[in-house]
Amino acid sequence: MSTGDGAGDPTPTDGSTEPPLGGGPTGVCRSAAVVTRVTVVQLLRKQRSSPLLVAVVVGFNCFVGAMLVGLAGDGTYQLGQSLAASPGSVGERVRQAVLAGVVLVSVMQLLGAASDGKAKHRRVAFLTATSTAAVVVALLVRRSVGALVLFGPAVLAAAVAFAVGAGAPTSALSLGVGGLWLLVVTAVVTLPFGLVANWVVVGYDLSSNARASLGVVVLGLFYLALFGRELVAGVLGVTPVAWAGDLLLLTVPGAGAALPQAAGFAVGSLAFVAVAGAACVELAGLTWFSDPAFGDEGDDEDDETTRTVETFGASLHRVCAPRTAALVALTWRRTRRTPKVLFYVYPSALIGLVMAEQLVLHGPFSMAMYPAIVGFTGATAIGSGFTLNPLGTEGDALPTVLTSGAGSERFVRAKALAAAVPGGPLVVGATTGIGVALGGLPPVVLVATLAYALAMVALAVLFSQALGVHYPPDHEELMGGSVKVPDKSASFLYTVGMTAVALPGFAGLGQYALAGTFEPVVLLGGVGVSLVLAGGLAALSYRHATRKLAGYSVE
Amino acid sequence: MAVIEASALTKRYGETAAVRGLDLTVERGTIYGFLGPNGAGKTSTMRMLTGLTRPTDGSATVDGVDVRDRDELGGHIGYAPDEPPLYEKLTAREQLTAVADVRGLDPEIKAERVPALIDRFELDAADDRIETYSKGMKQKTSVVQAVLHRPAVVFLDEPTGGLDPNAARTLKQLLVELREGETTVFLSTHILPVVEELADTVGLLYDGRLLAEDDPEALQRRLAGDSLEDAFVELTTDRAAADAAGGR
Repeated sequence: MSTGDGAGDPTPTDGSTEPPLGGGPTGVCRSAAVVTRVTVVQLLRKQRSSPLLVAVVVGFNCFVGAMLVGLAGDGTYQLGQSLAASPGSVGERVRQAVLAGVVLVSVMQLLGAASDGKAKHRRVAFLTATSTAAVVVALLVRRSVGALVLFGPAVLAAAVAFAVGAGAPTSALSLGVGGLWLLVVTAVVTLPFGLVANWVVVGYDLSSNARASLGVVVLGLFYLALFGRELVAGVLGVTPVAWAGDLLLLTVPGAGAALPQAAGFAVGSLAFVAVAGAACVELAGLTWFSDPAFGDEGDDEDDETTRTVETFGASLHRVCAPRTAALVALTWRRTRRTPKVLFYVYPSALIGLVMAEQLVLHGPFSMAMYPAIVGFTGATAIGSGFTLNPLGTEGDALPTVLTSGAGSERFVRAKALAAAVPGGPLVVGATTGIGVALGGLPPVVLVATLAYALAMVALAVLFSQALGVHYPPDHEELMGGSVKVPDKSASFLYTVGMTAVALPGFAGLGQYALAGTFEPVVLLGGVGVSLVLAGGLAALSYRHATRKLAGYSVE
Repeated sequence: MAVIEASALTKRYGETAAVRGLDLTVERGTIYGFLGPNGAGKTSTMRMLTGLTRPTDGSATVDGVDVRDRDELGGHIGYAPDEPPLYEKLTAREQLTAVADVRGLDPEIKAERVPALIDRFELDAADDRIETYSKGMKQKTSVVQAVLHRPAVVFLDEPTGGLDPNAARTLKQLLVELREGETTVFLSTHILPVVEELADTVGLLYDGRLLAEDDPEALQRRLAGDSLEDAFVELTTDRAAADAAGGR
């Protein structure tokens, strides 16, 4: 009702109508600015309000920066020195490195864009208030800011290090600005592909199996791109994308940068950004407003799977108490229908691939290292699913579990069993299988590896719960929301803890893989220390998780 | 014989006191209507009595079990909060069966009760996933889940919200039967006619304190109102005015 004085009255008194927010080009710009500001502020506040997230971002930047600068191995500082010693010698190397970097960042951005479809609820408020174009602009800016926060400082440090090494301060200008621009370009031009991926997933109402398969394929592509980056960069080297090197080398004296190519890349990339932005608006309309986008997630389950779960559940009655078995079967059934609770299993598997590549394929270790890598990363993966967020994954039904009288000890045991029963044999089997298949592995090494894998599995399913019972702290979301994937910081802490315990055993097994013969003291000592640490921490974790759960209060 | 006993029960969230020194006694085999305006502390009280929230101060027992001992308490209570605590990806039948198993219900009793309650509450879509249910269907499933194991005390928070008239009637009949079976029903609702019709005792909570407690008719007589609604309005309005005058 109007107050008469117009205050608080949304209807203009002169009879005219207020143009809707987002109507016309000016309206789009204005609302885009508003939505962008809100979106970016949300992003930065989210980062700032979490000291752990800030630490992760800073730590990541320090790590990447150290690698780029050349604190570990050759980096931009050494390249700069080479340039100073012999002008004209480093241009091609910089071009290759830039292209490899573009490939890497593009693949990472692509993965991020493809997984962003789940954020639809964040956008709904905006989409019902303004135009799709404004929301897309905000999303693109958000992605760009995210990339700049995550990689920008490292890129700038690398540029400065090059300039210092070369003794040519102006070098930092094109390297720094050009590097940041590449981050923005990759953030923008990868979004259409991510939207297409979302559209395929949502539009075709893919089953959870199909989604999982798609995820594995994408991860496989990521792996290929990661380790074939030099090959990909070689292919891109004959395309105009290679002109990115000219842009970055523009103010580097004696590097042989061609101004027309540099300008061509700048203009071309700007055009690509504009085209990608326009494509995003169209694709966003398809993805965000399609009927299935507002339906359920399309998870399916055939009768065969149901029977399998029931058969496993019935078998469990023989080895554990019926109420525990019931909780295990319940967890399996729900996990089967909500596979997103296994979200953090993928990164652990990826770490295994990266370790295999870095340590064995392109590293100093023999293939005898594979079983240890599988044992460690497989165990870490097992604990990265629902056990990493045992309360949060109960979702709205948490009060049911808490008031069921099942008890905190039974709850923790059931979660551990639910993860270890299918995961443990897989990891231990793979570890043993690879060890046997390699041939020639001394029995003591094989047995030590097996014990190591078992201990890590036992630790994983309990340690993850000890951390996980602290998440999520936001009870409103816990009580009223749907199942949540584990918190990023929980995943980070869990991985650090697992790594710390695994290291001595890994070193002991690595000694054999490195030298080809084993030192009993090093092997058994290293693995022994890991076993003791894993056993002790697992026991402490069980106690902590049950106590924390028993004392858990919905505030 | 008292089945719920609370003494100086208090819950604070930081500086804010949600429940202030609540003294409460509820007799076994009765229906207790727990009323109060929004923010009075009803949900906090129910959460404390069901072991979900730790009291900041004071003590309480339900069926002789300390509310701080949640693991033990679970066997004595059923709880249907206003937000149905269900696994969205399960069907109602799976949910009820799983909860019966987790509670350790005898398989034969489970096989008898689950379908019987499903029929009684006309959960026609019992084999569809809960995520496809209406609010009322979820509410019915939640209530069935709370009474499945025939606990000593059932806590129901707004159980009739979202129910169609038929389901509401079935629920009221069930509450009466529960009472006859010596189960105590602790009922929080804003639908006062339900309390007026069913409750043996009514407790009116305001600002974390028990403002009045009596049987519905006595409460109406005391306040010279025509209905429980009149009594509720009179009590809470007077109290709010007194609080405002007191500068609170």
